[in-house]
Amino acid sequence: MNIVEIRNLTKNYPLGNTTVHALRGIDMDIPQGSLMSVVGPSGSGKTTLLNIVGCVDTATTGSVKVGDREVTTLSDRELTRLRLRKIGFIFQTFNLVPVLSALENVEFPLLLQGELSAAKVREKSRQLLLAVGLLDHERHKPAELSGGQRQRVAIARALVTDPDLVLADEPTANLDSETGESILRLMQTMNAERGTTFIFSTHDPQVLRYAKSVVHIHDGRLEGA
Amino acid sequence: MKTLLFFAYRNILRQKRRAVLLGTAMALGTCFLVLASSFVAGISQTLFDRVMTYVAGHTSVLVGDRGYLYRTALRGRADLKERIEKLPNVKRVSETIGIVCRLVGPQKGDNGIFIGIDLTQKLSPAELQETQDNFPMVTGSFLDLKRTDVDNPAILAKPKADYLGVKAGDQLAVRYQDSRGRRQVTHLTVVGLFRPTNSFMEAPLFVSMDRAKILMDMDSLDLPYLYLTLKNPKVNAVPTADAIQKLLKPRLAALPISVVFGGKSQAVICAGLKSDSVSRVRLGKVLPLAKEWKGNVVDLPNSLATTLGAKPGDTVSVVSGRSKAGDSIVDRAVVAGTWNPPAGAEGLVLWEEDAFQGARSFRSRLPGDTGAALVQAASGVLDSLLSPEWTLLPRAKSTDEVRDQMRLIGAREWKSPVVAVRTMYETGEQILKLADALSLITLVAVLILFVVVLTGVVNTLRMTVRERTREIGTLRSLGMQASQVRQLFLMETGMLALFASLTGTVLAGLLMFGLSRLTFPLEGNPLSILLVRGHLVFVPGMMSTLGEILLVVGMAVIAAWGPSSQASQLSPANALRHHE
Repeated sequence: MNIVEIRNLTKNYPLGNTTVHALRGIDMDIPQGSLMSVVGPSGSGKTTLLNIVGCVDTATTGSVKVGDREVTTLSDRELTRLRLRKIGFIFQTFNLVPVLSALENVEFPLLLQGELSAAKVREKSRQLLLAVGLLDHERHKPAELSGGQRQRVAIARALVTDPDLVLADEPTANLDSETGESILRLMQTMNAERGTTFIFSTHDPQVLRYAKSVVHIHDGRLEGA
Repeated sequence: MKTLLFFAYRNILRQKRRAVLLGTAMALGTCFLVLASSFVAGISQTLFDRVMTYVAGHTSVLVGDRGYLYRTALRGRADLKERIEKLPNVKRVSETIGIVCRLVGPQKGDNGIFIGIDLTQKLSPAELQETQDNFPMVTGSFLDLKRTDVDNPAILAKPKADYLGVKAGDQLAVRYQDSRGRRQVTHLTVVGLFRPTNSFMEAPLFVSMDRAKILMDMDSLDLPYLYLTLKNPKVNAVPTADAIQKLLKPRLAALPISVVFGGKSQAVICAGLKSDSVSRVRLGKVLPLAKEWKGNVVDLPNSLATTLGAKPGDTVSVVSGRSKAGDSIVDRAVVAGTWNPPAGAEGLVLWEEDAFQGARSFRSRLPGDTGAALVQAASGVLDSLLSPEWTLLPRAKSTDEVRDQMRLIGAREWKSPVVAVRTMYETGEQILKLADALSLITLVAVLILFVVVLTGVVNTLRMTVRERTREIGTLRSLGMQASQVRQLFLMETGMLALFASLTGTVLAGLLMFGLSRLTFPLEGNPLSILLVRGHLVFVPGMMSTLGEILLVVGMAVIAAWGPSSQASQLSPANALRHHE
């Protein structure tokens, strides 16, 4: 079963008087439980593709299905709800909320969902922090953590809602190679243990060995497609 | 909601310096707002509870003998006071005599107001304390006005006494007109001096009401001015005045007299007949008169003229009773004509109104209902030409209307006694307008201040939104709805405004505590009207303070609406791409 189905996806941006064709007709299916890497040079459309699959951006034309829902026809409110329940994000620059501690950052999406009691939210978030090896840093603010530790917190935050799909945009780009590899190993473990689909973008061929499948993107087109 | 509140609170602490600066501006604005509104409430309370009560009463009944409002007596009608006292919402009815007079001391002379105060009134401990607070005595006590060992005991303000060059125990000459319009000079003995608590209180010179009535040549049954203290005066002043206006509707005046001519005398009932130019024209159409209805003239019924042998042009004596001294009151009046009274009014003598009311005024006792039915019977023919017991002036709606009435009284528009029912809203319109103007000025000043502060709020928030654009993108990616982003920024501003306004309120409380303890000089101080015993008065109200806090928070939230909405409308993808 596919968690993502993309048909003839295009995305154009206006840039001054010209139009940037970021995606030029993408077709792809991503099966559930994948650990897929989207590889391509800077400006190839990796981030745009991840943003549209992650419902934070909209397609110009084409069809995108996440789970069983066609997301190109959803309102902003419905897209937001979908992100909250089905999708997790890991960013290149970690994007933790600086005023919240590591534990509070992990708790935040669950609190937004508002479905679990405060005690259960805390318990579940601690489990995730334990899984990423940062339980003893739960009270630390992001500024008090190293880059690798921040990204681990981000992974815990992305997984805390038990999403079907986690999107990671160049998750190792701001990390040294050793830390980067540890993060990728963690994603690999989570994929194996939880069955969560991971799609991560990178332009570093060294990290490809962690992916179960790889797609190459260049000038907004999938190579070999 | 709880999550957003917690997050908003953390965000306030994120930019401590910025939050402190903005919060300080809002706190100072709130402090000024609470301080100013409490000060205006203090002035308003001073004006209502102190100045208006003592200077004009919440509602007042002003009376004037023979159409002169400053001859403060309605003869023989002290009973009206009891009827007014029974009206709802009336706390106290005080008899008052207030006459502008000239005070002559050994050094200098000065104008003053001669005021009679009723020492028989029972005051509650709170009212007694209030009176003592308003008139703190430097020498003597108000009870000294009851002293019988000195002539005409009086109390006056210390600064006035110093100016005149008198002290306790000294005598002071006073020139004034009594209630019958006679110029009088009397000597008062200074038995006490008080320290005026505001500039209004420098002018009065107090004597006991009994003494004042004697000096004014008033009977104990004569009614002086009445000043009413009401429950909830702002609400009840006008309705109470309207109720009194209904209560004081006059009847037609009657007076038993004897007409003497040619050695014969006949006791009859007499009515007054108006003699102003308009009435004279109307009169000519109703009564056959051989002589113009002007000056001291009478119209005798045909039967009486025949009995006495008097005819038009003859001069008769009119004996209208006895004065307080026991002398007969005798007028000489010219017979202007004879008339045939209607059924029920047989024998009714008509007398020119001014002379008629003069005779009524000089009698030691008025006759009550004697002859009233006879005069009423004549009203079918003579309609509104007959003189009433008193003229009840229409209720004035403004100070301008009061001024117009005073001008007409000054021109002797009415020859009968005049009665006017007024409230502080007309009498003290200017004073009350001062409070309103102060409120308005304060409000405008505060609004300007807040426009400045809120411009700061808008700018700060716009800067914050710009700085946190990437974070907004993250939050939206994590599943925060656009409306929640707006709520978050509104909560941050509202929370900051709430903390700031509470701090400002506490600061205002401390300032009020400190400022109200400062003592300012009263003499030569143009602001003394705003002072009570030399102190500024602040009256902070719980509801008004709560309203002000809500106003500050509300204004801040409204100001934050634009930038907050802007933040909520950011596209998550664009926000994530934003680089600070």
